[in-house]
Order: sequence, then structure tokens, then C-alpha cells
Amino acid sequence: MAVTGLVLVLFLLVHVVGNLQMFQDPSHINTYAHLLHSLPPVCLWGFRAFILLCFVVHFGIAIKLKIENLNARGPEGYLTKSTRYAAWSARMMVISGIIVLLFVFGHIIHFTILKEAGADCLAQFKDAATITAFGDHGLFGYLGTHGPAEGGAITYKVFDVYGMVYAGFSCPWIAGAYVIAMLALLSHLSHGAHSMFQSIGWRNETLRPILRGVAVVYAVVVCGGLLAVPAAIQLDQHVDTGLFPTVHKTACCACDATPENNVPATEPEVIVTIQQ
Amino acid sequence: MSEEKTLSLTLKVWRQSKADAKGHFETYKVSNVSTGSSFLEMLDILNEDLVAQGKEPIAFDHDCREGICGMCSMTINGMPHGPLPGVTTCQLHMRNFRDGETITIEPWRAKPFPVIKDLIVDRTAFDKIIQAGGFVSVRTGSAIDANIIPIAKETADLAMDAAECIGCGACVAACKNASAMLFVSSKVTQLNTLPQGQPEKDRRVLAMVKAMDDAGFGNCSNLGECQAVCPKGQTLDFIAKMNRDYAVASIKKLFKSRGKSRK
Ligand code: SF4
Ligand code: FES
Repeated sequence: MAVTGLVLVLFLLVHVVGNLQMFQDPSHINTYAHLLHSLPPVCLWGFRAFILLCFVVHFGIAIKLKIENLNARGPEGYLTKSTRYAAWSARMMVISGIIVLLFVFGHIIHFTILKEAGADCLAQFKDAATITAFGDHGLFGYLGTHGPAEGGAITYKVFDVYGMVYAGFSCPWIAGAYVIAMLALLSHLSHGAHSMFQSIGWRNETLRPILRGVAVVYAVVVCGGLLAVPAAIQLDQHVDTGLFPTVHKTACCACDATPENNVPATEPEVIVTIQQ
Repeated sequence: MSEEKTLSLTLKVWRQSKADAKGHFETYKVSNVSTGSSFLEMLDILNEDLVAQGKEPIAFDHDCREGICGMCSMTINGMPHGPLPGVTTCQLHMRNFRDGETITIEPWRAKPFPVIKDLIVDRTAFDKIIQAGGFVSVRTGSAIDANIIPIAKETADLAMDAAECIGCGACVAACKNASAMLFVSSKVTQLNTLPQGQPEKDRRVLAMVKAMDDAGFGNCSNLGECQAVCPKGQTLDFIAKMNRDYAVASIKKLFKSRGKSRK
């Protein structure tokens, strides 16, 4: 529980940092996403499989423990119940965990499976962005695998992650679901991120309040970071925040895909296109 | 001494004639309860009334009545050992209740603690855990000289703190998961801290945790309810220490030299 939890907690931090690139020029997140996708398949799929495994193990053990715990409580409950110390978030771990799990399913279907499967609604983002990689070998040599560099910089078309994320979160339903999931995650983390230290024995009565505090701060930072993107995009729908200057406001395919709203993204300016 | 008042109370008490009988709540009225009497004395008075009326008295466990034996197990208004922190039921005085209050009294609830009768539960499961490793297996002979084995004060203090656990089972009763971690970790810490306990340190923690799981106690999810009700103020610190000892012992076991193969 603690070990898989720790992996997931650390993964989240990386995810947040990646997400916050939405507030920079589109080329940042697009380059980042492209870099991740052009990792050698064993790295990319190895990493995905590892995270998936952690999820499965974390969830599997949680269910097993919960069943054992319910059994241990016995058939007869208390007439009067009282809770003196246990935090609400600590008692809600299974519920918040299930909400987060459901969300992760939806999230992966939305941003990974639909995309990889080339779903219609996301097709408009394919090759819709241009990025520039510097140096002969691109970043870590991976981007360089796409073609020979001329004069040190190469520019080519990649999937427009920036546009996809913007379009996705401009849908109030998706953004709303995201908010609920992040609140559940906040609750889950505020217990889990300190509880894991107790479970592996890295805690004592001096460290306990400190770790609890750190966990709450961590949860707020991570969830705040994850919420910042959909919140800003939703706000951008109503007022011009100037946060996403380059974006073409399009409707997402999931909800109001009426013909008037469904303005296709205008072709971005292509500087050079290098075919593989 | 402040002026002594008396209380009138309504009690809702769990009655169950024997282990396999179906239990139910029964309501009793008690009046003229002195605020200076203990909770158990209040029950004694009620029981005398019941006997006088030819009724079956309420069965409850008790022994020392001074907070050291751990027998007086009962859940009062949902709280094991009642509302006052750091005391056992026998040390809980009636001045902690309001006149006219309704008090619900239930036995410890946990699968490994089956009800024997009324408020009495069977805590053999704790004995099984102690039998699995709650001892030091060397012949101690007659008392040796003090200080023959030097022990640092901090070590002795920690072991003494851990040893304060009276094995009452309130931690299990309060835990949402019916976990016995606070009890087991107190016993493990007590022995694993002292030099005399070192040779069996790893074996002890593995065996006691296994006995705890086998007895059907739940898993600790670090809620902290146990330390809130423990009459001896045992803390999650001991649980962290036991988790640490358990992790080390498991890893050591994995890499343990096997020596010659034995038939
Ligand atoms: S740890 Fe506290 S509550 Fe648990 S058995 Fe020991 S004294 Fe009782
Ligand atoms: S009767 Fe001994 S501790 Fe209460």
C-alpha cells in the first residue's frame, strides 16, 4: 500500500509539472509531449506498465484490506458511534480512492486511448502544431530520430497537445468532473501522503505532526496545480484572461458539437516539414 | 471536596444471555447515583436492585478497580472506557455525566472478541498473540544484580512506556478496522527495545504479527482512534516502531543465510 502509494505520489508531482506547461508557450507542452512519445517504446510502455501495475496493486491490496477490516469488525455494530481522532479524509480513503480511480479511467480514455486510436474528435489536433528542436540530436537525442538536422534546428509538425487540452477543458462537463476528482484526490493525498511513512515505520511522535502538515501542503499544491489548468481554461471561456493567447477557441466533441460551434482549427503556419 | 450531588440516569445496556444467544438492548433507570461513585459502582448499585427484583444482574468484567488489570471492558456512549481520556472504566467517575443523561453501554465489538455474556467478551485472542512472542526465552533464575546489564535511560523509559499497556483491548474496540496494532506494538516495543529482548527481536515481531492476523484482527490504516481511547496513553509511535522492526525482520528473513540444508 505504502510503496505503491509512494510511486503514485511521486508520479503525480511529475504530472503536475508537465501540466503547468500549459501556461507557457504551446511549444513547451507540445515538445514535452512529443519527447515523451518519442522515447524508445520499451521506456514509454515500460513506464506506463509500471504505473498501471502500481495502480492495480494499490487498488487490489486496498480492496483486500477493506474486506478483512469489515470482517474483523464483526457482525454486530455499535449502537452509538463516536470518532475521536480519525480524520474524515482518513476514513474516506476507499471512497475517495474509487472516485480517483474512475476519474483515471476516464482521463486515460479521453487523453490517451482516444488519441492513440485516432478518434475523430481529436483528429484535428494531429500534426497541428509545430515545434523546434535545437541541436543535432534534439532533446536527449530522441527528437533527433525524426530526421536530419539542418543548421542545428529542426522544425516539424507534431500532435497539438496544447490545443487538445484546451478544447477538452473548455467543456464544462469535463472540467467539472475534473474538479470533483481533484477534490477526492486532495482528500486521498492528505491522508495517504503521510500515512505511508507510518506504514513503513519512518515516523515517530515528533515527525507525525510535521509529516501530516507536509502531506496537506503537498496535496494542496498538487491538486491546486492540477486544477489550475481546467480552472484557467474555464475562466478563459468567459473572459479573456490572456493566458492562452495562441489558442483557437473550439468546441469539444463530447458535448456541444453543433455545426456552428465546430469551427475547425485553422492550419497553423508550417515553417519546415520534415518527413520521417 | 466539592459538594456531592446525585444523578438520575437512563441506561441502555446490551444484554446477551450467552455466547450464541441473540442480544438486545434493555433500558434501566437509576437514580440517587453519587457523582463520587465510579462507573462500575453505579452498575453494582443497579445490579443489587436487579437481584432484589429477582432479575438477572448485568454481567461485566472487572478485577483490580484501580486501572491496572485491564478487565473492565465496556463501550460507553460509543467510546471504549467512556468519555474521559486516559482512564479505564473503573476509574471513570459519575461526575463526568450529566443529570438525566441517557448512557448506552455496549461490549467491545470485534470479531476476535466474541461476547460471552452481556458486557463480557472473550479476549483469548490477545493471549494467543502473547504466546506467539511476548516473552524472552532465557532462564532468568533468581533476580540478578541491578545494572549488571547496562541499559540507557532513554531505552529503559521507552520500554517502560510501552509496558504500560494493560491489554484491555480498548484499542481494538475503538478501531474502525478492529485492528490490534496498538496492543501488539506496545508488547513488541517493550521487549524489542531492551537488551534482553534482542536475540529474539526479529522472530518475535514476525510471530506476533502473524498471530494477530491469524486471530482475525483488522489492518491498521493509521486512523489513530486507538491512541485516542487508550487508557494508558499508548501512541502510534509504537506502531511505527513495530512496522519498522517488521520491515527489517522481513528483509533479513529473505536474505538470511541458510547454512547447511537440513533434512
Ligand atoms: S494499547 Fe491501550 S487500549 Fe490497547 S490494550 Fe493496551 S492499554 Fe488497552
Ligand atoms: S478493573 Fe482493573 S483496570 Fe478496571
